[in-house]
Amino acid sequence: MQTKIKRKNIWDLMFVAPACVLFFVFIILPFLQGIPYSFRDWDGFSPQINWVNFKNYINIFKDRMIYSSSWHTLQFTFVEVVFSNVFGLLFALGVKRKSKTNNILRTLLFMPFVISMVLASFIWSYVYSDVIAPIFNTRSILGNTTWVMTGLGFISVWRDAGYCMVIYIAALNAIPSSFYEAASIEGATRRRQFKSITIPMIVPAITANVSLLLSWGLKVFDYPFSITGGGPGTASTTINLYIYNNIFGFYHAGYGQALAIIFTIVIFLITTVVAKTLRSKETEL
Amino acid sequence: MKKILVILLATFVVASSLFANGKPEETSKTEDGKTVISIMHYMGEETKRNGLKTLCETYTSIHPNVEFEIQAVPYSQFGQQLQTKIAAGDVPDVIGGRPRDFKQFVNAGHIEALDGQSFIKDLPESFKNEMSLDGKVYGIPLDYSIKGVFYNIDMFNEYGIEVPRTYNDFIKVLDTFEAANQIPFARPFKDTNAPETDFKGSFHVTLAKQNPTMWEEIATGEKHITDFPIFKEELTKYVKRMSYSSFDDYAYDGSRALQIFAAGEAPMMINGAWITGDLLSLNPDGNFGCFPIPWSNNPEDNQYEVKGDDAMMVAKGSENKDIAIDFINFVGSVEGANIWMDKARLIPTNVNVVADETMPTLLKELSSNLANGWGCSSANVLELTGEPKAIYRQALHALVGSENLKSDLDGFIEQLDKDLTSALAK
Repeated sequence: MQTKIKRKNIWDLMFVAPACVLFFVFIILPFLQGIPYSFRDWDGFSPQINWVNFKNYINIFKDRMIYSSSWHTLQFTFVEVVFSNVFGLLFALGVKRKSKTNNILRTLLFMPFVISMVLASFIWSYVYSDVIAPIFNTRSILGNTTWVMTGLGFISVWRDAGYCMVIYIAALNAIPSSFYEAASIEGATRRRQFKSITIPMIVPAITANVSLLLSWGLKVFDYPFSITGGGPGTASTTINLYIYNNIFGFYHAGYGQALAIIFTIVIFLITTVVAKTLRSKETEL
Repeated sequence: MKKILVILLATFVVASSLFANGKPEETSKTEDGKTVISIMHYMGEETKRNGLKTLCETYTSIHPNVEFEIQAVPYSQFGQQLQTKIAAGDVPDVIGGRPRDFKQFVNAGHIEALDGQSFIKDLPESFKNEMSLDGKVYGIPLDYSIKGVFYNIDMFNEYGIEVPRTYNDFIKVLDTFEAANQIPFARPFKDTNAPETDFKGSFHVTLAKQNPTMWEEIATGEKHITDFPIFKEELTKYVKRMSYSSFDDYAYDGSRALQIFAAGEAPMMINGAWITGDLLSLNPDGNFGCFPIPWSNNPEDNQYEVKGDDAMMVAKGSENKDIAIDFINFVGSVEGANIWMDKARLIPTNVNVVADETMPTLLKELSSNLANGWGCSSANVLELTGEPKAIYRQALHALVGSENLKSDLDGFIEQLDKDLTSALAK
């Protein structure tokens, strides 16, 4: 009996092994290799490297840009998580039934997700300046220091809402129709059915989408890098872009590495806490 | 168990094939034994890229055993990519850029000193100084960077406007356009470096004459910007210039803004001579001129900011250093300079090359103005580099779009000082 269990465990491990190997080689190993650099003053190319102990980590707390770039990152993440999920769920509710029209609509709505982030950035850069701005007789939102992160956030919503829709369609179609039939007989309105049946039954999908989009949002780099370069001024400089600038543009590779390590830990903590909280809600509901 | 072993073995083989290959073998030779010289540059203008291509093709026609691999990188990513290539040991043979803009790489010993090369004797003295660090020459500039106000002569005539030679006259010109509901400038402020280029066009002329060591003193932490009242004075004039009605400046990059100017939608564009080739390609029948940015009421103070542009350096770690240096000498020769003038449509730096009849009128005018003493070399102004430069650039980028910052220049300068101090302490 025990041999059978052991054999099953080995089989299970075999399935996750390739993913684990890739994760170790491309994520864990570079992360560990980067730790020693975070205690040095390396400029990123010189052979001369000096130990500076915790200076890089101490400087993080004195750096004004950390606070502003964190705020920009959070603004983007909020728009990305909230609106991608809301639109994703609305799209899913609209096209969940199988029909030819819905199949075409599903493809169209999912299509932006297939487009690369950089291409999406260029498309929207022109949409904001040459389409939306003239219609509303205003200037591009990407040139406004207050609203630039919201503008970038909606590009990601346009791209990722289709992805959320696919997850939600799967979750919606897994809800037994008998639940709704019973509720109708009991006299529940559509709104009540949505609140008391649909939402509780799709919480696992919400958990998956929110956790994933949260980590995507916190790691945002491509959109500000390719559209605004972090500007106007530094109004769209996110944490990841700031890390990149320190390592490559400012010749502070050691400081950038220290920032990257701290940021990785912060993302891990935030996503873990949020995912755990949402999973606990799954059981409650 | 056998199955498990087979699957484990298969996983190992797949993983090995994925990761065991390592770095592919780099070679600077083609299959038929020709030497390949790699060039990395950030020339954004099509005419310049064509000029470089022609220079390489001509060199290959003289030396059939040499071929070129040209890699164009956007200016905003050039330093990063070069840094990555150097760190990875994959440094290009010829590197575009001024030595002083990449002094970290020069100081770290990655750039070859070019003292004694034949091109140097044909360079104007100011360019020799500009291409030098610690007394050694590290680069060759292909042409003159001349910053000024490019203007549409026909539009000036249409509004009955004379070319301004003083600051007060310049303001009157702007007022005239404003009164006629004509946006005066095409500005490429989507590019983060553009507001700095705009500001430098007049400010560095002032610095070259009055405080050439300002940025050096700030970079060493000896002084702060607040110690230089000239900065606020010039910034005030700059903000005044920015206050005139404009397009959606943050939405337009260099090429879009140039299209607007070339098409006659705006009468002026503050920029460098590097735009002339593309400007004349976009509108071959256009009637354009260029005057120095008027920052003073003394006409003699107002000069073009002049520097060497499109510089090239040779990597110390290049396997083909001798050929790369020979190519640099060819580029700096009379033949190379003529090719550059013809294709890139810019004023070459070789003192033995003179403007001929085929040179566009705009360049002839610029060339003649320089000969008449309208140019001021800012070679003695050593600029900031690395993070301080980025902070300064980003601050100016934010300033041009923010009414709050414009209305509190003291606060703006104070914050800029704080940020520079913080960056220098890292």
